[in-house]
Amino acid sequence: MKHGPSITIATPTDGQLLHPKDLDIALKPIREIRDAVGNDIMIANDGHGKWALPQAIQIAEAMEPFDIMWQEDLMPLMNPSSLLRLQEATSAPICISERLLSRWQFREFIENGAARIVMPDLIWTGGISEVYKIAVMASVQQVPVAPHDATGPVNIFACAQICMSIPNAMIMEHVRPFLNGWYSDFVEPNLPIEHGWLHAPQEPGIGTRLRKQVFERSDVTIKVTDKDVRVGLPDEDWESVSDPFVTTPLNFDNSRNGRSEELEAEVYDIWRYRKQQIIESESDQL
Amino acid sequence: MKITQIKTIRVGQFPDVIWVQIHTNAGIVGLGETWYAATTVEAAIHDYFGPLLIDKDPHEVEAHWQTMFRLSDHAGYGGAELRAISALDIALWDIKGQALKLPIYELIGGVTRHRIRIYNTLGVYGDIKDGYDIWRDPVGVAKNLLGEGIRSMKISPTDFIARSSDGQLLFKKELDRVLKPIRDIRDALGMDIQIANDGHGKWNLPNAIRIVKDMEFLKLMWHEELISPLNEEAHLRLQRETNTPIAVAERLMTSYQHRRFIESGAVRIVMPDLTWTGGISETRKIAILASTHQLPIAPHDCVGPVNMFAAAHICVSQPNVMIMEYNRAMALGWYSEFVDPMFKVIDGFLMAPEEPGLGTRLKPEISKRPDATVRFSSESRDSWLTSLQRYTYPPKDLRTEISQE
Repeated sequence: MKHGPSITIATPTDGQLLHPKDLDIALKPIREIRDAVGNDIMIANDGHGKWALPQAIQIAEAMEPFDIMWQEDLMPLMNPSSLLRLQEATSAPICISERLLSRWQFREFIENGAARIVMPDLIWTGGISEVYKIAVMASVQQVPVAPHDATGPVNIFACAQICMSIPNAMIMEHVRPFLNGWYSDFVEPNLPIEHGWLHAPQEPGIGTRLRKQVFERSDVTIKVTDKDVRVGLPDEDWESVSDPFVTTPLNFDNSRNGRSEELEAEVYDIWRYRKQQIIESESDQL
Repeated sequence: MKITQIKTIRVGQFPDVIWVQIHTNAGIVGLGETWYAATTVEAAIHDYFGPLLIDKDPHEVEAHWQTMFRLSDHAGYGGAELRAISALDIALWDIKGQALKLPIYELIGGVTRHRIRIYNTLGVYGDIKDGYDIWRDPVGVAKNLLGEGIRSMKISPTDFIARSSDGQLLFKKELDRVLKPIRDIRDALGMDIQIANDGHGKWNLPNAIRIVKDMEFLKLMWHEELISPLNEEAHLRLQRETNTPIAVAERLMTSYQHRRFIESGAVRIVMPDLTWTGGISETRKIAILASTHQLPIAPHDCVGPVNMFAAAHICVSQPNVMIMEYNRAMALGWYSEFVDPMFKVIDGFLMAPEEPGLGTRLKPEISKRPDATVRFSSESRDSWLTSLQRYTYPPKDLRTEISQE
């Protein structure tokens, strides 16, 4: 389980000052669990990025006796060196973070050793493609991935695809009141979560669909985009240019549906101009 | 679908090349290939890695890679083992593509381009003697390549002068002489053709630094393996001495060995060999690592036709691919004798394969050649690393108390 006992006590000082007495009170639930059931249940701590470095270290130290599964986002993720100092001050692994977007934001935290568990949010950081790449980056540092949820049912289906296929997946987040409370109202089939496991989806693709009823709700807003507004260039003309510099995809959709005639003319002019430039520069070269 | 049989094929004509075919009960056959230590690779496939795959589902490519690699890594993974894993990985991807009726590139991101520029490594085979001709008529070779639409080439001018001292002593006069072909090309054709320098890991650091400094004015595409990639700090020192990018290196195995060169800034162009470093699975990971450091990859060949096909799938799908190696002496000389269809090179580009899977097959007559060595295996075995017989595991009656599974 994951718990965030330090989140509320950060508010009065904006995370700049922490009285040990306040912390002691906040940690009471975890202490009681450990007293009653020992290590039967693993407990992670989520800090939601509230604290300055000394207070983060203070919290991590105070929680050492509880054998925490991970310390997540005790500080906001502004500085990989600071997070490394926190990791060096505690034996619990530091876990980061759903709020890092794309492999380029994850890179320094993973490479400098600050992150011992990597927690991308698939639907924030760049989707299935990017989470795969983040997992590869983590794998070369021998670090596992524990995808983030608390967002929605489609996220968990997408995460399931990642969790089943990458070798370095540790564990998957889910929020029980969300799962039982509303996720199943929106997707069909529902999430394959049973007996403490997320199972591999069975259907082709992501493995679920938005329910029809969702589109018929009285509070629904639906917006549709079906116009091709890319300033792309007609395929066959690109193919005919033997162009040494342009290695961009040639798989632009050829369809001109939805473009106004003016836009069409404008696009064509841009294309004609660039084609001329390319031919000129090519003849310069040869 | 289940893997039923693994077959390796070697021919006496090319003793370093080995092909592997993975057969399935669905009739689909996957093809892989590697180069160097072929007899050792053959033994590694039949004695160690093949039995892990027999009776298993070929679709689970990543899981099979991990199982094979961990068996090897348990005692320190090595070259022949990674070559065996690479060939098997490519064959597994081939099966998966054929089963799903899609080219492999569709399974690893889809196309980001439909063709990739190639450069010609100067080789010698049959009628094509680029490697010799470059010393007699460098401008002629360059013009010939440009005529074919190939605008880049790779040359190894310093290999010969490293020989007498094993790379420990460099005579400036000798260096001056071996650089004459490149100087002649620059004098005659300016920058019309890009030229890369491959050092094959022959030199020590100070001599490598002297070479890059003396070649600076020739404005090369890259310097590759002037020193062997054993030490990323030495490579970083070399890179700091030149504005020409340093390329490393087909001899690095797995993303783990590439990591240090990429992260330290010692490499500016990453050159994995698919059939050595861990196949399509691992090369894709290396491309991703390079992309986080905003570096391109330029896959290696001089291996064989299956490597070219496998690399083509990486080249058209991964966004950060710069250029693909091509050795026209080898490709035109013998690659086409072994596979059907042959990969397409048009106007200096390697084209995306068109068939499902890898896109080619080993010609059936190869196995029947008189100089062919063919070996089969079809016995299944689980990795002893995770066998329940492991001596490090507790006795059976105590296991349920410990494991929560």
